[in-house]
Amino acid sequence: MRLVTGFILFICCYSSTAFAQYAVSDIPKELLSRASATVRLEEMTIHMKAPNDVDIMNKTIITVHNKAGEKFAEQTLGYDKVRQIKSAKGEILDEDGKVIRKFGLKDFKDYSASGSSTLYSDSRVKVYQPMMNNYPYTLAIEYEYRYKQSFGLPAWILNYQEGLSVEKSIFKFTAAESSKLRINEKNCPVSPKVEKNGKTQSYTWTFENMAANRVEPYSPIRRESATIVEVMPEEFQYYQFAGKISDWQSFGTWYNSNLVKDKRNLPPATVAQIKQLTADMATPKEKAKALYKFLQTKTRYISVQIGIGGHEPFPAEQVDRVGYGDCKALANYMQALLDVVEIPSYYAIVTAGNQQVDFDPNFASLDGNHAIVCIPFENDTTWLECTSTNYPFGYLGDFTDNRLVLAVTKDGGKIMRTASYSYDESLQHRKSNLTLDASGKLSGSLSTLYKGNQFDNHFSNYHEHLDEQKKSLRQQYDIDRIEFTEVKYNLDADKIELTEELQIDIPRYGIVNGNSLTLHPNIFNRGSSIPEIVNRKKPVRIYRGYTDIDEIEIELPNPKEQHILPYEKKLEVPMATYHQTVSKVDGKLKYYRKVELKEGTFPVESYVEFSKFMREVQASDGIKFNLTLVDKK
Amino acid sequence: MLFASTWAVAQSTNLPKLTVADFTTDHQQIDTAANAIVLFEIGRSELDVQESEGGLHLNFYCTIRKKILKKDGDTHATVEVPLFKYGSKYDKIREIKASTYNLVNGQIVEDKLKKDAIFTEKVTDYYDQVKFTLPNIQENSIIEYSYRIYSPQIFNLKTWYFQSEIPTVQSEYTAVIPAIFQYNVSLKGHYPISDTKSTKLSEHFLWGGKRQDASRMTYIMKDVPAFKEEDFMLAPVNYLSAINFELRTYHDPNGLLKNFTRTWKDIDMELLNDKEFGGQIKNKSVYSKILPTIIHKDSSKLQQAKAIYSYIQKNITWNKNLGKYAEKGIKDALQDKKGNMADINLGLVSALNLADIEAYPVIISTRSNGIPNIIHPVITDFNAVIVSAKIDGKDYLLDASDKNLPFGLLSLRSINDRGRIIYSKVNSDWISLVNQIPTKSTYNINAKISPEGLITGKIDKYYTGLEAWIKRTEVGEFPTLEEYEEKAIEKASGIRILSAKIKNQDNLEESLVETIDFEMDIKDNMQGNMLVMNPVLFERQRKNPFNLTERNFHVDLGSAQSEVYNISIQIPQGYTLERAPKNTALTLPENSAKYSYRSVFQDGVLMVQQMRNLNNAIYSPEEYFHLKEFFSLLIQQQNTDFQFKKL
Repeated sequence: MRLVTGFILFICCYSSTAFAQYAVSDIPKELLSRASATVRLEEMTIHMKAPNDVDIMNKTIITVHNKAGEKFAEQTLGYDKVRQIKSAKGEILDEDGKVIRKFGLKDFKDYSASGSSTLYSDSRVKVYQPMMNNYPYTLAIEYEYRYKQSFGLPAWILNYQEGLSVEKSIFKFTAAESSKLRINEKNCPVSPKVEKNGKTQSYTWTFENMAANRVEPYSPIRRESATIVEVMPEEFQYYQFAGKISDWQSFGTWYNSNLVKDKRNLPPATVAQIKQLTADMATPKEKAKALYKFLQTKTRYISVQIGIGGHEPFPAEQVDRVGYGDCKALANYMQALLDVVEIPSYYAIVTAGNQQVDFDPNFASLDGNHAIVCIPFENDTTWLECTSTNYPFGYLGDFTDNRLVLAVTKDGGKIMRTASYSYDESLQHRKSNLTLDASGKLSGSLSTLYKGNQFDNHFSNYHEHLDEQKKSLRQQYDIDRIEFTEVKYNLDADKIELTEELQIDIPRYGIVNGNSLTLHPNIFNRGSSIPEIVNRKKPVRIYRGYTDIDEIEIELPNPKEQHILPYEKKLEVPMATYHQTVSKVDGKLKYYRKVELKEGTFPVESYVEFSKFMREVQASDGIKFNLTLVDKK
Repeated sequence: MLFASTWAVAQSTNLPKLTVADFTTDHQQIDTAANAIVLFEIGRSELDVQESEGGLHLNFYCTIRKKILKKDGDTHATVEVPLFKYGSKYDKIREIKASTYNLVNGQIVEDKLKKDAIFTEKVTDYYDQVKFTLPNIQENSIIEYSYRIYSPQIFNLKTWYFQSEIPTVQSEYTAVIPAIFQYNVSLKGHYPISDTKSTKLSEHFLWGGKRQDASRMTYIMKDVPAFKEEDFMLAPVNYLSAINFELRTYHDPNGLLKNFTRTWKDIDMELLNDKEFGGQIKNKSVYSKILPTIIHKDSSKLQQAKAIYSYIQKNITWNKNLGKYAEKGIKDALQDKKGNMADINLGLVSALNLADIEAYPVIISTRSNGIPNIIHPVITDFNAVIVSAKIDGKDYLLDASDKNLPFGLLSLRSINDRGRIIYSKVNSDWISLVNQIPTKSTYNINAKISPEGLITGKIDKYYTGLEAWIKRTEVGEFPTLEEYEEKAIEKASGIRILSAKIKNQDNLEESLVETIDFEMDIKDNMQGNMLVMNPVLFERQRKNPFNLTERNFHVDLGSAQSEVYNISIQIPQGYTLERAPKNTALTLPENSAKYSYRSVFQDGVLMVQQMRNLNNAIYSPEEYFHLKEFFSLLIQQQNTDFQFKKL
């Protein structure tokens, strides 16, 4: 009761003069460095009154120093049936902390939260953009939420973004003393203050004076070093479901029995069709492949998010009838197909995206944004992306590769790592036979093999129409006047290898000047340097390595006249190697280039040699030769 | 009445019966690249009176049949229908029906769309979107869907597009219009109407207790190719084949004539009488107080105009909404320091007029909105407003909504054929939207090569016109000029940038200047007694922007452009010039583009002057290939090295 009174008082204090203390000149100097905005004070108070009744109060006072800081002042409040915005109001203060504008919930714009790839979603957002043109200014806002559930409560994430410094940040979690809480603290420099107040107990984390960071290329993702505090009650409410979890094991059990189970029934006609389809197949893998193909032919990806759409798949019967579904529905449908032929499978939840974000193996919480299927074949764990209508069986692109995910099994949740491709498996191997004539025109054949991480970059072109293929090839091989007279792709779906076979013409590739002709033998793959970073702070992290090999043979005009001295360049650093050779054999110029970039983490000091390496590669890739033409007199 | 409209539904939006032949016909051969095709589509707009719902409404019926040719054509099985709000009134959708047909063992099997698979989503305060996707889509599925929109908006009939990103076999649009209504009809796009039909419907329309005759006009287009977007073109909406109706007049049941956009005079009157347009311009109280603080009485009219422009530009932030009507009004916009394009530019007209400077609003259609109809006045074609000021006999086009536009320059957004200048309630005229300030980039390079092969030097880059606007916008994305410089240093490849200083970022009246001190190691280019080097050290053209083998539409660059290099490089002592690219001059027919490259080596200094002028803003599809060749030769020339030999 006392807390409620306190809260009312707190609101009353919120008047124009309350912020006068937030003059920009009060910001400590060390927080201005590299900061385009400074959080003066942020405070989130989560008060769990009951598992199905949670109040969340937020207060943010943020000073924007320049245009780049605008994004930090923008307020985006998401809401849906179980997350209601109770109130929101704020003010804009000038440099001296004087109020120049007030705003309320009616000044927010209301949008659907669904992206263009979503057919329908019932979650929405309210957005407020200050649109100030004069810097600095300070935005002060308070808003309040009521959650009708206690699963998926917001976590407290600090210094997650570059360019933002924090003066003071407070996270407070209050619940009945009797409710058991699980607390996850990552990179957390402080311990919470624990206070008892009658029957409630609260935890308060206070962070002060965190300086801004800047973007550094080839760094670990920000999430790894960010400070995160997350509090989850063991007993919780999620939509209509009550639950109790303490770890991934129990999380998986709960998830399975409430959200996933009993959704894998198929109509008898489909069951019969699948049995017939696989009747003559000997191995489970063969059957699984056939069923994946069946899924790809029959269904398409359409996202519909209603109610517990965020985590509950549509039943398999529905997918079978309409022929579409979102990632969850399609993964679940794939499992239903596998059930028919008695191949065990797991429903796997993943945080998808180009960044490889892991599930935290030590703390179970509502995470992830995508679902895939795992088939635990012995010594051959296979992952299936069910939203793609053309991926080869078992291929995961950079959307879900190499990260920790949660597999929901009969026996509870299990953290597993998805498939990855090492640098030597991620190959681009190009072989080319070309002829250079006296006008500088190059023509001939070009054959390139793509594998592993490099497969996905080119696979999308495989299905395109010839006109589109040529268009994207022209971007890939961005050389003036290049023409593709023949384009052919060969896919080996079992090995997951794609070969691109081209016939090309490049008029005027060689530069004619009088009776000399300049030739750059590295035609297709030139490296570019990476920035030198002074005072780098973070280690070097390469997430996806690769190997590129170029082997080019060029028949030269009047070959006897051409004197080409053999040339070799070798470079090596811990994370990469480079090898380039040029020689003349049988009147042809032979060019060889190999670059390896190895995935892994390397010490911060190694960045200097890495950027030097890349600079040297760029310089070396520009190698050129002057050829002699026969005098036309 | 009831009889008439039932008859109409039955007659004019039903497609021919679906047959097995529709599945077995090879439609892919029409366009081998297409992943879906419109087999038949029919639309019909018909005015309707519902006394209970406040009088005149529009019924828009449509039925569409498509075939999904390839798996990735399944996106065409998802349908989105926008429903607009007009104040308190709004569009309603009725009678949604949709089915997928598949040929299974020679039989046509139908899968119906279920009602619970139709979603309505509020997108913004101005419109909702109705969305559904058809079930059981396979390669070779045929889908058919139909709906009716009941709209309070009778001013424009729904614009009918005969063309889309997939090919269309047949597309028909019918307008049923009572004889007492006159609409302006306009056609857009490259393809002709294949056929039109017109019928008189006697006593078809019941209004005010009287039966009125109506006419039924049908427009048919057959075999319309898919629309494909290309680089350097205006918004696709300008090129799609479409038909548009805008209400001109009608007689109400009492015989009284209601006038709509009959002439430009009517529009001039309407705009200037509108509270959110003319009303804003007339509002003298907003700027009268502060005007003396902005301008000096003794300064020239041009200086005063510039001061007013600059004041409004700096003090009001554009909220990214276009619009020809004020959103908040010029008063609140100034007070809250933000507003839409009309809030800002109508305020500018008002303030200029207050200072006795002749200025008028110019309504325009932005580049992505399509070119306005030139033949008929179609007020809804215009979606933004800029300003024309006449000072000492010279005309200036102004837009104070963009922070980086100097006085008299328009952004690419506004450069779209022509706009309509509203002089008075009885007078308006077309004016060309052309930038008077030329777009130009000049690079002055001064450098010296040491005997060890290190180039050190300085480059001054000057930008004016649109180039300056583009560069200022780019620099403006950085919080500070120091951070811009930091990024420039880090980003540099093949060259070491020691410093990169920007001058005149906020001084819009002057050229934007970037001064770079640099170093570059070319000792690899010194082999034996030879020195090979290319003096175009910066922004050398390596890629051809015109690399297509086929071009159907004209190229629109937004303005004429020129680029000049003045290069002076001191070569180490003892070297003589061995080989140099030939001096070249190149001109495209009718002087539409010009390129020249000249070099001199004298007293140990290599001097190169290069000039590239694209003299037109717009080039025809044929000229595309001239440009392609032009750039190819230019790339050749620029990439030719100089060779020096040490004696």
